[in-house]
Order: sequence, then structure tokens, then C-alpha cells
Amino acid sequence: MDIVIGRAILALLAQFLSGASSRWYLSQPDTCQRVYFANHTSHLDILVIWASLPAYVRKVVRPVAAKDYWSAGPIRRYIATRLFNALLLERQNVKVHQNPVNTMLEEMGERYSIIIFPEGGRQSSGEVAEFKSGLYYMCKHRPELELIPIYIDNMNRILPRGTYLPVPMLSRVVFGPPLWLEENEKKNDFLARARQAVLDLKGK
Amino acid sequence: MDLPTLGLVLIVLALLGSASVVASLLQRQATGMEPVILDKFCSRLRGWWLLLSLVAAAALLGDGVVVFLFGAMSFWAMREFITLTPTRPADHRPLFLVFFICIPLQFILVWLNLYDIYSVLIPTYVFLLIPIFIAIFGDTKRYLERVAQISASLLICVYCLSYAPALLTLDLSEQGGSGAGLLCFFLLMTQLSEIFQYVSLHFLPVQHCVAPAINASRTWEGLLASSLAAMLVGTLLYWATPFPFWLAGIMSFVIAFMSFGGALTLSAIKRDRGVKDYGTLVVGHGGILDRIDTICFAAPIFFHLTKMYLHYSSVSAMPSPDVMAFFSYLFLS
Repeated sequence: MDIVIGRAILALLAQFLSGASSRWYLSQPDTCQRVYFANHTSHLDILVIWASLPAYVRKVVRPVAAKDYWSAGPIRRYIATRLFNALLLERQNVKVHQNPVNTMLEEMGERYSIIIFPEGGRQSSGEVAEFKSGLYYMCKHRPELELIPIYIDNMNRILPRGTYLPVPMLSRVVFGPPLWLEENEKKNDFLARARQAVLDLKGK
Repeated sequence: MDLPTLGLVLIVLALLGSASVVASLLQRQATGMEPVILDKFCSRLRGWWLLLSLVAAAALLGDGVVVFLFGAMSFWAMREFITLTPTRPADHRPLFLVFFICIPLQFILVWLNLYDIYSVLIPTYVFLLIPIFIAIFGDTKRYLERVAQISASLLICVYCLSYAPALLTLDLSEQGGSGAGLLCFFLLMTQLSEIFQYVSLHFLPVQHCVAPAINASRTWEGLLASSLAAMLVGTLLYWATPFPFWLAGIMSFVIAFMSFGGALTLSAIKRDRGVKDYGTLVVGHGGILDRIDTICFAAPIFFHLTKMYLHYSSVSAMPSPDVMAFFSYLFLS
């Protein structure tokens, strides 16, 4: 019960602070297994994408977040593990047998979708940086996964890197059409194509 | 609620009700009307219902609720304005203070009826503190421009708008009438002048644009026609105001003129920023700022003219050597 109420409050709070309007451009919300990937500029990003999804989709979506940040302190841990059902990843001491890609695939199972930020960190400038290769290796293992690009607009002005106080401007979350890893597609080509898919949603 | 206010609200209710019925009938039937125009009209209608419920709230739930709702509108308008304004990271903390301290404070002061403080809070204290804050963070790029943008947005979205709920605090006991009635009259005039403006645009044969580069639908003929029409309606509705009939007409004229000016000014800002509506981030809806631009500009002028009238009409009841009082005694008694 507390989780249902907590989720509703969190979604409302996210909506209020970010003034986010969401748009599905050539795409539809669905509960099938997906990898949502977005540009990353703010701590609010994860909250806003999560809040923009319809409640029935939210149930099967697990945002991927950094373990060191989200398990520090009881409030963050509660939000991450209970409300978000987040998939917490080690950023330090990554080993061969427990690398992040394998962990994510294991945790996803046959049911959950995930939200990831392939740039690997928040960008201060609002530009979209080159993607890290994790997205590619995931698709290599599970080529049938639908990849949904997301462009988040204006969030770097609402809660930029290095600040704690949000300025409640308006923002936008655009969900784009799904894409898949093509057969024999090279890593760099694929990552560039995925990044371009996010950039193409700018102004849509 | 006093009788004249009730009458005014009932008239507006009847007008809005019939307009909504017509609109929903038109929406259901496939008429030759363009759906874009119909949609625009329907979104306008929703805005009017909102304004009417504001006045109803004033009468039923008390002034505090109205002040709060105007505060919320101000907050939302401000975020639309700032979203479209290029700010830099150094403006972040000053903007946080503006949103979470300055806006609530302004409306709390209005609610407490501390005229001496809320009438100078933003133009004096905040306008001086903003450049200081931004200078402290040391970013001088486009410094003056950024300070001016934040100040202008505060002036329009917060300071000016706060004079609309401030109408509720005016003491009308001598002249008769209530604050709610005055607010209702004011909102009705701003919206009617927009309707007249729209109607005259479609029916007047010769049109001269005021500023073709800014807004093709704002013409000198439209301005004149809408102001005169508002003046006529205002004169007819004088019984709902504390003014004598001729002054109700002049006030309506001024409201219509300022509404026009407000819409034109905010259009100019929109053109500069290259957007069509302030709510463009929300697809398919105009923003709050598109709905209240007329109110923002007309409210402070109407408030102060009314305050001036109240002051001198009550002074004129007791003749004094004061020159202004003498003139008002001549003209108003």
C-alpha cells in the first residue's frame, strides 16, 4: 500500500518539478520487453522518464541506477529499491564474471524492461555525448529486445549537474520509434545510429 | 455575495453556458467550420470557465483561495516565460529564489492586504537584489540582458498579475459593491475586449496592422472597435461597479486598451523567441501566459485607477482645501 501511494506522490512531485509533458512520436507505450535509452543531464531524468510512462508500463520497468549513489542513505535506498524497483549497478570494481551487461540481462529476465543512459554519466552542456558500448553488447545477447530512444529536453536547466535546488521550468520527454540491432551491424555503426535516433527526437 | 455581483455572475454564466452548448453541438456535427478555429474557441472557453470559477471561488470560499489560485497561475506563467528565456548556469540560484520565495511572498502580501509592501517588493527590493545575486556568481556573459529578462518576466508574470487578486482587497464600503464584483467586472472586460477584437477582425472591411512583423491579427481598427464596444458594455454594466456610469465606460475603455497592449507585447516577445505559443512545450495547447497576457497588463492600471477614484471620491464627500480633492469634488459629486 505504501508503495502505491509513494509511487503516486513521487510521480506527482516529478511532474510538478519538471513540468514535463511526454510525447510518443511514431511509438506506443507497451509492456513488452524493451530497453529505453535516453540522453542524461540531470538526476531528475530517471524520475521524469519513469513518471512519464503509463502506470501499467511502469510496473514492468526497472530504471538502471548507480549503486553508490542510490544506496547511500535510507531515503534514497527506499526510493530506488521499493518505489522505482531500480536495478542498482556497481560502478566500481567491475569483474569479468559480473560485468554490468550480464547483471542487467539477468535481472531483466523474461519480464522486465529497463531504462538506461548510454552516455555513462550526466553531461553538463546539454549536448549528447558518444554512447558507451553496453547497449551494443546487450543487443548482441538479446537481439529481439526493442530499443526505444528517448530525448529529454531542458532538464539540464531544471536541475543541472552540481546543483541541489531545482528551478521549475518546463521540460519535455519524447519517446521515439523502436529500433533493433541489425544482423552483422558493426559496434560503432550501431552506437552512432542509436545516438542519432535520440538526437532526431529533438524538436519533435 | 451582493446582488449586483450575483447578477453579473449570472449573466456571464448564461453567456458561457450557451457558448459551451453551441460549441459541443458544433463539435459533434460535421459542419463546414474549420476544426482548428473550433478547437481554438473551445480552449478559449475552457479558459473562461476557469476565470469564472475563480470569481465564484472568491465569493464562496473566500479571498484567500482566489489569491492562491492567481499565485499558482503566476507560478506557471513564470515557468513558461523562463523556459523560453536563455539563462545561464549562474542564474540558477537566483531563479530558485524567485520561484520559491519571491512569488509566494508577493501573493501572501497581497492576501494580507499589505499594499505598502507588495506594491514595492518587486520593483524595489527584488529588482535590486537580482543583479547583485547574478554578479556574485561572477558570470558576466550577456549580464545586462539576463538581468533584464528575469526582471521583465517577474514584472509581467508576478507583479502585474498580483494586482488582479488585489482588487479583492479594495475597500468599497462607501461606494457599494464588493471586491468579487470588481474582479468579475475586470475579468469580463479583458475577455470581452478580446472577443470584440476577434469579431471586428473578421467583419471590418478595411484593416491596418498595428505591427505587421509582430501580429497580423492586431489592427488599429480592431483596437478602436473593441475599445469602444467594451466601453459601451462597461457603461451598461455600471451597476455592478462602484463607479458612476460614465466612469465605468472610461475604465472599460482603458482595460480594453491595456489588454490589447498586453497581448501585443507578449506577441513581440514570442516572435523574438521564435515560438507561436508560450505552451509550445505542451503539444497542442496554448500556454497559461497566452491566456493571461491581457490580464497582466490591464490589472495594475485598473487597480490604481480604481484606488485613485476611491480615494478622491471619499475625500470629496468632505470638501477640503486639497486641490485634487477640489477637482474631484467638482466632477464626481
